[in-house]
Amino acid sequence: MAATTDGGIVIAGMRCGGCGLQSAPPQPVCPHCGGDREIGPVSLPPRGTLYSFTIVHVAPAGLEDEAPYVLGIVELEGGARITARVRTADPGALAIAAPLQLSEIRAGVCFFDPA
Amino acid sequence: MREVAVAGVGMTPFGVYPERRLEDLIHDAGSQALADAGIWERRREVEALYVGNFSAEGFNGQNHLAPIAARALGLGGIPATRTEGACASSGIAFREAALLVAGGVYEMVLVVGVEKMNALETPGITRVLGEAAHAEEEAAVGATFPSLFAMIARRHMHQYGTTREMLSAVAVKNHRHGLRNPRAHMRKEITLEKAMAAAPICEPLNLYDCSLISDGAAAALVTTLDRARGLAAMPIRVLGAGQASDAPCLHHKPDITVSRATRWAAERAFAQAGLGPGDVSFAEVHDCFTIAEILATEDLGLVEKGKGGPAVLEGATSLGGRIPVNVSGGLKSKGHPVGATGVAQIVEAVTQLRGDAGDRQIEGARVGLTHNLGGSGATCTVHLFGRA
Ligand SMILES: [Zn+2]
Repeated sequence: MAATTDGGIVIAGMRCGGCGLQSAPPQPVCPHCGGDREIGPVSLPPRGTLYSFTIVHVAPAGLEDEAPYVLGIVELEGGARITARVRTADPGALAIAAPLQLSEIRAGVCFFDPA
Repeated sequence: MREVAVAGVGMTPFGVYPERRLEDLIHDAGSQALADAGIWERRREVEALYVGNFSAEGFNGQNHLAPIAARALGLGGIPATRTEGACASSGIAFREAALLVAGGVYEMVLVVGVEKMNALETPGITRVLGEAAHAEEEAAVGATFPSLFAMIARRHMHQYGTTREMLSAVAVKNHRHGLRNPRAHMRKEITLEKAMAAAPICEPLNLYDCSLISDGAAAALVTTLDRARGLAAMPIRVLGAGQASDAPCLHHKPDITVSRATRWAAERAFAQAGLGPGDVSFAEVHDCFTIAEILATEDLGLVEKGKGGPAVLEGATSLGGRIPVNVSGGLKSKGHPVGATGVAQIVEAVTQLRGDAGDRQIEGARVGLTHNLGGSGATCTVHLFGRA
């Protein structure tokens, strides 16, 4: 997930004029409606809410040292959703719809903190 | 389109077989299916071979599996093709075979599904399975298959009030069923208390919400109904074969508690068969995780949306219930060698419809449904079978 710095971190996304929905990452065809007209790049806001999440205890090869970690689907303001990581000292306090703030994009992965 | 039938079935017991090569598993299941139809000695009548396999390259360092399968069965020379659709790899292979026979391209096609997963340790297996998710948008972020279904489970709990107890009840039921299946990987009854208290894998899913990591193969011989009537085993008709694709990433689905590919594949299969969910006597559905069985029963129309969990608690989906689901033990107890699963479900459907299922036989079974899901739901096949 590419990012640009413009006074803060933003997430590179797209908006489809056909169905009106935003999504990420940018691609030539809308993942929601399959349309390819009126597709344009947008900077998605670094804020959103938690659509769903899990605490990963059994990690894949390469990420064992990071477990347990929180993986979530974040719904950004404007409606686009991305799969991202959530950093919190208290995963037990997380809940669906919790407000989140993007804190870092590292190697293409978005990391959010509770807002 | 010609009427299509399954003329023979076979499968290895599912389990952990470090000493058996991929081709040993393929030979075992494939030769059983050909012998079941009474044509092992005349197997050169088979015109094409389809092999469903997810990742022999990932698990075993082996690509180009189809000609190896043909060699293992003494079928070298015929077209041999591998299909890959994650855990739906062999559901796809079977549908291709059924379509080619229905369309008159071939008279007789053998389908084999196979996977040998236990060649790696758990983190490696988890990583290879994760390759069925999107590499950059999901796997690189830290997603694993349990984690994707865990997010589906949490959302289903949020929207419909599905509980921890309902999830565990799926595991308890399928283990109870699997006790009656001599080819099941884990023939062991589990208690609800133990299932609910198991170690977390990806919360809210725990160890007993996850299907097994298995090795094994399953095979089905597909031919015309006319031809099948002249062979050794009772033919079982293929009434419908549906397939669909959905968003490869959960974050692009409007509602992750709905498997649209399941709905679309089922619609297509039911339309071909001229049947509806109310006509189904039993179903083998893709319970890679307990929540996946709940979603499947809902999106196939076997129970009302949101009521998949309560239906399990009420016993509606148990052997002897209104609509028995996963009487084989499902992926949870029978096991889940991923590329073999789609055809193994069909082996169970055929066995039930023939009336050969022994002490797990469903009384009066007339129409069987099999539901095979790939990834977090990006691929689905649904097949309907009936007595000839
Ligand atoms: Zn669109």
